[in-house]
Amino acid sequence: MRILVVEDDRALGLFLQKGLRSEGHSVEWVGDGDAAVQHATANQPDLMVLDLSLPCRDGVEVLAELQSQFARTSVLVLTGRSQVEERVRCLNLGADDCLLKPFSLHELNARCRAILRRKIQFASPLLRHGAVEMNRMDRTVRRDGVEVELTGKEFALLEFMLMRNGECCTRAELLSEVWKMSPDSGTNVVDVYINYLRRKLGNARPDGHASLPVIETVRGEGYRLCSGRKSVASVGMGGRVLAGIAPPNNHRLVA
Amino acid sequence: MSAGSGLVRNDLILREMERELHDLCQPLTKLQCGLELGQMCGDEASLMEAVEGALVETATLFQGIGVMRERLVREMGRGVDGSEADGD
Repeated sequence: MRILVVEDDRALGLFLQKGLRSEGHSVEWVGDGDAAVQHATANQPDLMVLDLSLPCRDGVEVLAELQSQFARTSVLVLTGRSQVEERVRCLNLGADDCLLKPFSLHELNARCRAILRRKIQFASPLLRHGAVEMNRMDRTVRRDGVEVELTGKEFALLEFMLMRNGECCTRAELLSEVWKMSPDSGTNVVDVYINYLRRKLGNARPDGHASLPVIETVRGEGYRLCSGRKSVASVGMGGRVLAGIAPPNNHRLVA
Repeated sequence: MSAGSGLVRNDLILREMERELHDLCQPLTKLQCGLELGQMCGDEASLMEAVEGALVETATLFQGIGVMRERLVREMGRGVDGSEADGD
């Protein structure tokens, strides 16, 4: 899930960012109310972790602005003020939860998970592209109805690609969003894991016949999902998109 | 001092306490989250970073507690009606 942390204290903002990233979320941090509204306008995160004491525009103003424009973004309010009235006000303005400082990172993570769980319950937990279906609630993946067991990282990689719905995902993007690594870190981990996914998703046919590939290599760019089913459109794609063909060095990890 | 002004003084004290409590919450949250993060990462560099950050936050907490203690001593020196008590 995409999370925006809004906290004017840089050190705390970075702690929260790191802590939430450890849960597998994609997390951005901004330090004031104006930046929060700008970021939310441009990116519409799934969840905003919002401190109330902010420069430029305080948390309550951000909350009011957000709820009038982006009801899809859930909000967890952080506050050091003890008054119950303030927390009630935030909840009435549309916040999903309030967390009183001081708090534990574990509690923050648990509350974020709870909010996102509720969000998924109301939205569809299913991501689907062609022959591949993912249920993010029970964390299962099916290819042509056959369940495929994936590791956590393989699941995260496939989830990211499913959310892109067939658009090309560059290696740099995958490295940064799924592995939280610098795009120029010189590793081929993306290619290796794409190969793992291809193998697992390609072996999922119950009749034992070879399946059509579900991940295409976009030469010089990265990868994208394809339908994994026969269609007229898949014939004559030319040399640009190489279905199922991985770069030659993708069998071993290069650190 | 009238009962009314006594209530006003109590209200001021409560507000001040609220502000001081608020000032303690931020460094305490950073202390807690920083140490938890260090523990989660587990490597020596992360643990050292967490300890160094924790020492900065405890220094801030010491200052906050110092401010609260000073005020407590001041308030204890006042009579119930708000007048300054004798220094003897």
